[in-house]
Amino acid sequence: MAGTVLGDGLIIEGEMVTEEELLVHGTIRGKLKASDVVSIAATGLVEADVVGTQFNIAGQLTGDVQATERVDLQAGGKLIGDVKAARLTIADGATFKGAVDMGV
Amino acid sequence: MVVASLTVIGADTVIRGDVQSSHALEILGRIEGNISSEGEVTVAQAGSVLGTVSGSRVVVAGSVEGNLKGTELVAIESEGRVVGDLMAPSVSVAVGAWVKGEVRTAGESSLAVRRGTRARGISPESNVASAVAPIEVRSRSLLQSGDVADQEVVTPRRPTPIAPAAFRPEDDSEDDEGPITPRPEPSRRRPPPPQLPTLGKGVKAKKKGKK
Repeated sequence: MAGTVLGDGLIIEGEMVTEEELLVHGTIRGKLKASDVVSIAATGLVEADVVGTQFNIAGQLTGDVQATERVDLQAGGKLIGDVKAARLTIADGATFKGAVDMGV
Repeated sequence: MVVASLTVIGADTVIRGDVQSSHALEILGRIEGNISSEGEVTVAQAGSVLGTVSGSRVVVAGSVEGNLKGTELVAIESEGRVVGDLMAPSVSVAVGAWVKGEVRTAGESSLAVRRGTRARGISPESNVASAVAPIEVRSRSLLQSGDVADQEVVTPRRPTPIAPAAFRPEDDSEDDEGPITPRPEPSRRRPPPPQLPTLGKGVKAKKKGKK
C-alpha cells in the first residue's frame, strides 16, 4: 500500500487525519492524527501536535508527540516538544528539546 | 523510494484545511479546503474535494464540490462528478461525467463579439458570473454517490399548457361540419360547479355594507 506521501513544496494548513502510512517531505501546520507509521523526511517540517503509533523523524517536528508505540529521532532530525511514548530513540546527531514521558 | 516532489493523498486520509503545492498532487482521499498547486492536480476516482481546486491542469475522476481553475486545462473524466464552475483555457468533459456549474474557456471574448447582445458592456474579466449563462450538464441520471445526489437540483417542471379554446382562424376556414364544437377541456382544470344562493320565499336580501 502506497499510503500518503506529502511531497516537498506541499503545505497543509489545517487538520489532517490519516489511517495509513504517511511520509512527509513537505510541511504540515495545524494538527496531525495518524493510526499508522509516520515518517518525516529530511525536508519535512511539521508544526503540529501529533498523535499516532510510530514516528520516524529525520526532519523537523515542533509540537507535542504522543505515540502508542515508539518515536525514533534520527540523525539530522530536530524535535522540539514533549514526547509521550513507550519507546524513544535519539540518534547521534539529532536535536531534541522537551520532556519525555514513557508512561512509567 | 517515491519521488520526493510527488504528493499522494491516500484513500484513508482526510485533510481539513488549505493545501498548497508547488508540484503535482494526486488525491485519493478527502480534502475539505482549498487546493492550489503549480502542477497538475488529479482527483482520482476514490478522491473527493470540498473546496476550490486550482492548478496548471486539473483532472477530476472523483467528486468535487467547488470551482475548478486550470491555467492550462480542466478535464472531467467519465467517472467525475463536479458541482462548481469550470474555468480554464481548455475544458473537457467526458461522456458519463456529471457536472453542474458554469463553464468558461478561452475564446469567450470572440463569442461575445459575435453575439453582441449577451456580453455587451461587460468586460470579460469583470463579471463572469453574470456574463455567462449557467450551463447544466446532466448526462448521468443514476448516481452512485448519495451525497452528490442530495445536491441535485430538479428543474421545476413547467405547467402543461392548457389547450387554447378551439376558435382558431384556420378552423373557421374549413367549417363544413356544422357549428364548431369547443375542444373538451382537460379534466384536471375544470372550474368548480357554480354555487347559487338559495333564498326562501319572502326573505329580503341583505343590503350591502350593512353589518
